[in-house]
Amino acid sequence: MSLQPPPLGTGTPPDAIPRQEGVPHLHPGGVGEFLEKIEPAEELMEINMGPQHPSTHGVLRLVLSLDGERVRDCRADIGYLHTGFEKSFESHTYQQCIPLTDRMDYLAPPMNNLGFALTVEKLMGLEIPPRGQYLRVIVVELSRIASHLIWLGTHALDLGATTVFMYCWRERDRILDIMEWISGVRMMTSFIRVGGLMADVPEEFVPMVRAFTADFQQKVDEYEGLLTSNPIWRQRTIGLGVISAAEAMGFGCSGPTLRGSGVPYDVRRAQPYSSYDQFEFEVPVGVNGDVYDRYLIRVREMRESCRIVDQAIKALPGGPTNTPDRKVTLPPRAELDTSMESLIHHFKLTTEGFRPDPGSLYHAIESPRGELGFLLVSDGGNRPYRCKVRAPSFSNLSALRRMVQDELVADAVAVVGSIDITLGDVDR
Amino acid sequence: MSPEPAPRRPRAATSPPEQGRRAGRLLKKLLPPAELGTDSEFGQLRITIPAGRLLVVASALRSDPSTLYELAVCMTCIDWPERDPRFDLVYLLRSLVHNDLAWVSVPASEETEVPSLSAIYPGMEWHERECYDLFGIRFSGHPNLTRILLPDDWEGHPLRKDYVSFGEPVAFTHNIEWALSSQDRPEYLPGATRGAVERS
Repeated sequence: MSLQPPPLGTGTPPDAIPRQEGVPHLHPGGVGEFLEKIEPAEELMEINMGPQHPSTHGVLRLVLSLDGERVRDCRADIGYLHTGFEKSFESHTYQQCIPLTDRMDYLAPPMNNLGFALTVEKLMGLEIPPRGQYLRVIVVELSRIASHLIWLGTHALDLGATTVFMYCWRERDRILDIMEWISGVRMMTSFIRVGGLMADVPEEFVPMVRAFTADFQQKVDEYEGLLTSNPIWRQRTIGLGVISAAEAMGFGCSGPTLRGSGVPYDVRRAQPYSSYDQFEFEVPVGVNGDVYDRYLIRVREMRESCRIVDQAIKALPGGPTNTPDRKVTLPPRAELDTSMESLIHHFKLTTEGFRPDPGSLYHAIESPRGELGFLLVSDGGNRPYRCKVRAPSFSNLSALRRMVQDELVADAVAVVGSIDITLGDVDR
Repeated sequence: MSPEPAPRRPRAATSPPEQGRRAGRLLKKLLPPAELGTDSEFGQLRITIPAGRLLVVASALRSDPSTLYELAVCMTCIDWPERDPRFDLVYLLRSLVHNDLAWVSVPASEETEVPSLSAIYPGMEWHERECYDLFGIRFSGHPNLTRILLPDDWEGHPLRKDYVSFGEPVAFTHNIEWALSSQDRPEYLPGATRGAVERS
């Protein structure tokens, strides 16, 4: 069996995926079978979509093999935004890794912060006080709304509905204002740190969030009024980009892409973290696994996130936000003036960081795109020995080839939009 | 202040249902005891199997009604340069029916031909390409084993521990062994050869 890569631009011929002896193809309609369905046309035309293309939401190159207007095969060429974060993690202390995680999924940076922080905290056996956990939930759920708003705006823009885009950015800006108020930065907040938060929130935070959630449900009604029953929108999305539940799981899809196919898997429900088990929310699930179902799910998720934020604000406990363990959290500023020991701790934590015991673990959270996991290996030093990021967009994008099979080339744009990839997350 | 390690803390208590226990139970029936290693850490059962058994194990884990690990979470590699075999391939598979996560680890060296799981889990195809790209692991039976994140003409596999990520070696007293070859080292430092050659 040859392992030579095919020459660039030739595409993988339909019969190049070998069947292995003794291994049955277990997906009904999975990779093996869907490739068999391709009828070899006389001549397939290969065109590049991207890397500079407004509908690829970043720098993504799709090599489409076209039979007339039909997409017969689609090869995604990724890596244009590869930054080597996993290598960089190995030369930064744990706290220094937090700003790096911001820049992976740049549409929902607090999610990455939370995933990394929870993994390190689990590795060290740290407990975060209830106030810290609730504030984390508020911040990440707001960022989930912000991320879904960008998705909704750009997805609608791709399909020709320009107004929704403006409305979505209007609401997203209010969330960014809140982020700026609590952390000083609008996008790359680094607000969630290992051991707790960057700082407690200012007193204006609660009224700001209340003002946002008070009318957000009506804003979602506005978007839905423009799209959900719009005949053009429905014609362009219903029955398009269908993927079955079994295929989606085989491709490792998660998040709305998987739930659109009817699998009720949400990490917040299945493996609750950061006190998510104390909130009431629903996990919306689709039926058909098409673009329209994924749209409905994300819109519904914005409403559910808003509900979670409401509950968390209402029940926000007092007390500290960070773990009391002084081997991880910085001492309060006031103590530095009077206590030599605090000063030493402050110095050691900022220069050297902390050293978890040797060990390895995998911890996942539900990001707007799906299961965001961190596989962390510690050798007892102050830097991660290895940190693998299980990026949801990466696995979701690998299922694109199946989703655009035999669709029209103009619809490929809609399908790419519906899986909501962030190229920073795909390439890391 | 000397960089002394922090005092060891007690590990967090493992939450009651251990993850991966279903995979452990199934593989105990499937594999001879010599080929199955198990270990538990942070409430997660770690299963170690030889590379030759990977296909059998993966298709059993995916289709057996007691396990049904259908969701291909990811696969990755951990490099231990001092160890033989050098790499640990880690496969993470999730069962949504049983809400369980399997951690299957396969020790491999550079020469080991690891079978590709892309026929069983199509989602593993890209993860294996990433693993080939960044670690140089070869997967047999892979449909398209090319670099995925880095350019096709990239040299080396950056996530290996012996791949220097950036910067030029600059010699200070504490890292001179690493920064300078023994030929270039000042003769008053251990490991220098120039002075030794002149003296002899």
